[in-house]
Amino acid sequence: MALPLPTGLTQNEVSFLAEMEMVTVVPRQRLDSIDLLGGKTPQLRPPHRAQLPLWLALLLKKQRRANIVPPAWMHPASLAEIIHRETKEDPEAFSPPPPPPSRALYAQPGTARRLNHQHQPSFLDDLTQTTLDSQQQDPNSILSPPFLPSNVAESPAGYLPYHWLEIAEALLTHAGDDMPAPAGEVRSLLRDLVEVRAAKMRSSTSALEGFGDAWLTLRGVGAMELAENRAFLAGLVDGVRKIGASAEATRREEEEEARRGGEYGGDGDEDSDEDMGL
Amino acid sequence: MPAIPGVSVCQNLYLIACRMGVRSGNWLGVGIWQAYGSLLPHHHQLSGALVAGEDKEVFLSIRKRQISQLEKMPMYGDLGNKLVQHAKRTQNLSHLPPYQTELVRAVAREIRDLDKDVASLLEPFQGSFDPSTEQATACTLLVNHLSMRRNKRCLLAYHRTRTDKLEELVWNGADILDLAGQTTGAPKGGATDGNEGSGTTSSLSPQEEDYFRQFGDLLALYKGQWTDIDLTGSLEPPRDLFIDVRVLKDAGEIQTEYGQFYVRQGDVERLIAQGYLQKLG
Amino acid sequence: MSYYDIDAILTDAEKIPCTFQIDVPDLGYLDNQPGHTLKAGSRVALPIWLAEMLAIANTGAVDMDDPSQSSKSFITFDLPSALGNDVVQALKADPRSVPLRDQSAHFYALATHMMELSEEPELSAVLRKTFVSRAAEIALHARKVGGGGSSYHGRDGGGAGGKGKGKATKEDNASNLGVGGAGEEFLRGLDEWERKLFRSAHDGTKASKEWMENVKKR
Repeated sequence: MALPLPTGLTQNEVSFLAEMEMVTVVPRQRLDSIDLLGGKTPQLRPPHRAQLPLWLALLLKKQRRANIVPPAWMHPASLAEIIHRETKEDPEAFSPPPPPPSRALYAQPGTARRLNHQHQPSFLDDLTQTTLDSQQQDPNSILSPPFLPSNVAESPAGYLPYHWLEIAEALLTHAGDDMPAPAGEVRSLLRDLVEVRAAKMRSSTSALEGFGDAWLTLRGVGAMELAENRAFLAGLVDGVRKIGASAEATRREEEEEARRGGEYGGDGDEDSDEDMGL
Repeated sequence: MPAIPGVSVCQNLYLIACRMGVRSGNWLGVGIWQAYGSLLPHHHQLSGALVAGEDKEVFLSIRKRQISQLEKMPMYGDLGNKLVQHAKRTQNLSHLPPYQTELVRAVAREIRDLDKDVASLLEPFQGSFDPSTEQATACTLLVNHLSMRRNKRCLLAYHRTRTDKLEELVWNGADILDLAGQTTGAPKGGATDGNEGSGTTSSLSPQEEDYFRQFGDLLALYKGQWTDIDLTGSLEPPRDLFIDVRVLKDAGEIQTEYGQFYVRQGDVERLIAQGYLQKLG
Repeated sequence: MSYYDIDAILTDAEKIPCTFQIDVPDLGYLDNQPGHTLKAGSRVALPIWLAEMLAIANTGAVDMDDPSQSSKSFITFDLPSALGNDVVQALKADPRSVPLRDQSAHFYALATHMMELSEEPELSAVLRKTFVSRAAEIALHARKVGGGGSSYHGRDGGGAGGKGKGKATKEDNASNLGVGGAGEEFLRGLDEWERKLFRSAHDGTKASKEWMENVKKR
């Protein structure tokens, strides 16, 4: 039987995976390192900050054994800045994902190299080592994948990480008292942002109206937004493809014809034979 | 005489005829079959007479709804289309509506009649048919062939839609007895499903019941290979390591790794599925 | 397009206007005149599954006087009225105001099938624009309905096949409760492709909403 779930991750799955993202906590109690599948967690020694996966941080928060330090991008000022950028500065595009920590290469303008990672050592290091290595080998990589500390816990203000909505919702619900501002204020900014981006998602489809050079760009769109819109956008793009399929086939044939015409260009006789369709 | 709603008079007659023919093999049923197969004009006249005599009410109610269709001759493939529309509805339902025995039989019969038609059209040529000299016959043959092919596609698609649904039901742990008794929610068209005389009201054809059972066996065999993974278990990611449960039935003493007050979802999933426990929150 | 695809099969049942090129004695019933010869030049509406092959297959007859005129087809066909000039002009003027379902329940599928059979570059461009601009409207309604918690899913069982329009309308109205007014009218006019789009947009919004509520419950 076909899997009863839709293509791609569902909201609940995305939300589950987002709990693997790292957040910074301030422990209130000592806790020894825990040997998890992904590696060992750091020892918790109040008042030293440490990075833990979100699910563990939420568990400790519920047991009042730690407080969660909200990531910089969740500050009201940061959210307001993003909303401003999305509505006023560039009403077309989604705000870009957090940049990987990197430094421009002056010898090669437009490219950058990752710095030697300066984030606090975390138990995920072993897990992500391969990713980091491959990025170091490829200085042109500007990826900012999820599950790197640079993308959530250490993500700078003004950028939305891939799992922004899931993490923000979880933190607001379970660690509202750790927020830098009243949770209501953060939540209402978040609502505005969700609405702005949902409207943007809908209007972005108009890019597909024209022929030829139409495309949809989803850069900066978060995991939860993708889960919500995946089926619709895929259906839309597929419909556009089907409607244009016969015209596309004709265009390709003509191109092929033109290419062949070019090949035989020097030989008039052969060309005319082709035209006869013999 | 029961009728399928939304079926034209001629189609209904066709079904009525089918039933009569099947029941007693009487001359009228057979006669109509022949009429439908090769003497279409007669069929049309017959339908008027028969319907007026047999079932005025059905006639009138259908007439009201489908005056425009009444003017048109039924076409080869119309019945197949009806079947596919059933399939379309089935796709959007959570349960499986009754198997359209009569309709399936009628479509199969149409194919056989078309085949007979083709044979009789070709007979005079003794195997030396030349389409380029006999264009009209070639055209008729092509129409007959395409109609058969169309009917075949409709039949296969109808059954495939249903087997897909059956497989889904097996995966969801449905019981064949549940399916047998579920005709209550079905539309009135259910009156035309088969099994007359057999006394049951199953919405499955006997073949489908067989399929259901055997697919169930197959799935059990497949699942049996892994004892610690429940392949038909929930696909929802857990929201918490531990869950709250309410005990519905006495299940005896059960000791999990974490004692009696904390239960891990994975430990009690089977008990929830079996109805001993209810998950809270 | 799969052999078993129910929507493809129903699309193939849509009728298109055809003109017979030869006399066929046995096919009078196609023109409601059983027993009569179907004359060359008769115009008959045939389902695509029949018309397509009759138009492609050639009669095999070779004209002895002019062999270069290779054999002709049994029939020629035209675009159905659903894709006629009136509809195209209306779509050009305002794609959102045309109830496509009244033209055909499988409007786009019918159109793409016809475009495979004969080239219609203008139609293709108009439809693309229509589809995309209506999709944005669909997404908007889906968000409203999905956010409101009403369930569209699984309730629109019918409307298939394009026949029995009165019946389809009733079902449509039932399934769009809570949209109201012009929105309801727009949603009633959606063809099958668009209904699928609506459902995916609606289900996406609904799942997000449910997730959001679940976060709070935990």
